[in-house]
Amino acid sequence: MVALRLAGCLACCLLGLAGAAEEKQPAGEPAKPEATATPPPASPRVVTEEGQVIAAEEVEEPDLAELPLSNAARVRLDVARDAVVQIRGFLGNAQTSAFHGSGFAVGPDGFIVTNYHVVSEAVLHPQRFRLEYVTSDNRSGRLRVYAIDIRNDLAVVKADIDLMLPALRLRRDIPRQGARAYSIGFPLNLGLTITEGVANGLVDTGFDQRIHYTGAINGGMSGGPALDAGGGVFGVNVSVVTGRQLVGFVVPARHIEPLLQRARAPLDQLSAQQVRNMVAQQALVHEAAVLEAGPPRQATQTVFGFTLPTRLAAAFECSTTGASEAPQGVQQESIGCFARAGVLLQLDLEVGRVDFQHRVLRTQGLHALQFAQRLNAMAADRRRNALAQHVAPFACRDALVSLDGFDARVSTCVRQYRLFTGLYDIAVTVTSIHSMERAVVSQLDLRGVGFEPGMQFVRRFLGAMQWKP
Amino acid sequence: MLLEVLDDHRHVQLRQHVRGAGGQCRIGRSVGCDLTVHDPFMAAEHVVLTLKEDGRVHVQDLGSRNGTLLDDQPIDPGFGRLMAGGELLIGRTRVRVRTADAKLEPERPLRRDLLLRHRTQLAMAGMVLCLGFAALLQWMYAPAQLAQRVLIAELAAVAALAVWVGTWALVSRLTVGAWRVRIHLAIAAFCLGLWAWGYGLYSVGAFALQWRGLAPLMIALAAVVAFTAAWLHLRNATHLRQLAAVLLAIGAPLLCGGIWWVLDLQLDPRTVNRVEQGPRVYPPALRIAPSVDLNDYLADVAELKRDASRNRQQSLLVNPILDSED
Repeated sequence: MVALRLAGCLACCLLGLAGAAEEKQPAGEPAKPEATATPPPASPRVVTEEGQVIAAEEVEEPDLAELPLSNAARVRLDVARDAVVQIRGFLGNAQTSAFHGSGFAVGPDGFIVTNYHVVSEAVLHPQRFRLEYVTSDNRSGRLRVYAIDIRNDLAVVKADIDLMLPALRLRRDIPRQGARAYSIGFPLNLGLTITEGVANGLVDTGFDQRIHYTGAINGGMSGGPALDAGGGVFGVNVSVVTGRQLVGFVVPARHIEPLLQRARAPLDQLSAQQVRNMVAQQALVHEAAVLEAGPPRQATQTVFGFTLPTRLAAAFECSTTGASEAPQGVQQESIGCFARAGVLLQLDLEVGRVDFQHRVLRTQGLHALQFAQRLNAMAADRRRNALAQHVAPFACRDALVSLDGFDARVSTCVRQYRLFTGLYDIAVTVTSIHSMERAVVSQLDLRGVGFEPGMQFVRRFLGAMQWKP
Repeated sequence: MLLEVLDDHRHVQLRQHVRGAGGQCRIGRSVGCDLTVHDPFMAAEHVVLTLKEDGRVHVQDLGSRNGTLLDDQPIDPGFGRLMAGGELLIGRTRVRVRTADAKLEPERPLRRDLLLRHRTQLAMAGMVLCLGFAALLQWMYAPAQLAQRVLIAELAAVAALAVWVGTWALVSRLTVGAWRVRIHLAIAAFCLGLWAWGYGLYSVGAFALQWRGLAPLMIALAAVVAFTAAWLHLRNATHLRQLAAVLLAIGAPLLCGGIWWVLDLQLDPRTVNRVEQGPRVYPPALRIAPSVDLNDYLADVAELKRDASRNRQQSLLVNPILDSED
């Protein structure tokens, strides 16, 4: 559970290497295939068929079972080498990069696909950051962003001149579970790298579609292509679960095509505020889908007489744990629910995570004052760690509110994002006060939602709470 | 006329009576003077005081290098000065001059100075207030080892009081020459005890009444307690005049509070994660205010959009987004 949760919130950290300690040219050039190696597959240009996107069914995957693994990876890398570029972000006029990632050429128009989080700083702060590419033959120059898709963490960029990069072929479907797969990129600025792994199908518990890739993905590989055995791109490297082993995620390639169709003019023709509004708007659309998605299967759970909201939307996952303290005769049951639907607006700013927790307390031995003290301590121990550069301070309202069957202190706090006017964080704490033998403390956090949709969710949340003796 | 030579703590060190009109008193380092004081900043024969027929005193500086001050005003070396009484600064020695003409302040009633009379009882009562609150607080948390926790809390309270009282006692000793431990302990313990119990009562009251006006009221009361404590400390530990003591007593706590407010609320980046959850909850039996309907509450909460927007505007003013076009 913890691992899954991490997956939702950890972006493939482009890198942490701000200032790029090891400023290596990507032309650390892995050895060229030797003449004796298996004949290279048909030239990449042939595969791309004038940039046409070919459905995977039409492509015959060569049987690589007989090839030794290392050869297979080398062949895949040769297919993709010229199509993959390193994308670097520079602060102001600095000569050393502030962040970097990967990208690859698709389609006939010279577009390069990468992750939104690779270029987010340049999109949101066009005056402060500039983007550059470095190709496999060491050419470099300015990049401009043409279209972004926050929800799928994708962006389309293009150089000012035609780079004549061979476009990779996109594959619309999802590889079978267990299919061999390859991931290419520039991990940790160490030069072009290919890793070999296994595609494990769509992650079915997540709200967003990600292909689970079991193989190494590291910071800097974000935006690089994930290839199937036939050399077709089935996805874009996006994130990895840190502290675990080889659990990576890949955005399905079928989201690329709609984005390419939207890429008409560079975003830097818009004002910074217009771009931010666009980003916020995409986040709001995503968020509305999270809060409303699907009919709930079982929306409440009953603990010690309290009926509490759990799966208010299909995107929520819940778990229940319990504990008891013998000397004081205190029993506690906790229900934690969250929607794994976070999207990155900036490198260190994730919105869309919705979570809430109910802690139900039952006691025989505690004095009423001691019990009240417990409730106060529980209501106060919620850690929030937003940065002052992203959000303004909270504004709060509290009251003793009569809910269904019980009275509770309800406090609601709202804060606005500094860069994105339409986005709010909403934090609600409910502390029941009708009895000093049984009580519930519920805490709800909505991050990066529109004000009205958020308030509607708060209404549903509070309306679903009930107590029956 | 009565001359009193004062020491650094303004305690009388030496007394000299001069009687009859025309009576004189020479003050200086020389053994030939009527009043010989060993002060290296004094001339051998520094000043002469003459009792006039009308009961007043004429002060004449005898051409000393450092001059003579009467109530902090220099005396003209040529003409001298007539006075009914006052304090002379000769070199670095203070000499209080009193004549039959000088007005006496009315007798200060002993029973009104409760602090002085009952300092032992007050100090003990204050300690009971503080230690009682510390014990209650620990009991409220219902820890596994109550006795141990209570002991630690009591020791912490005693240590805090010791630092507080020790500081003021030291100031007293240096300024007025006496430690006055019990007086300062009574002031400190009562101040701390009133704050603690006042906060506890406020907390219960805020829950019971759900009245927003209670918080400013309690802050004002806490400030009054702080001012009073500071003023009593100053009055017992220094020779400051009434006005100066009052100004300092109000100014110092205000300054400390202001610094705390700026450091804690304005400069702390964690401020953005701070939520105000309202009054702490207490057992339902203590509650007086009725609860509100959910719809009414949500209608009230809808106003938060405006408040949040105002907070954002403020945040942008304090810390603008660094883009040239914004």
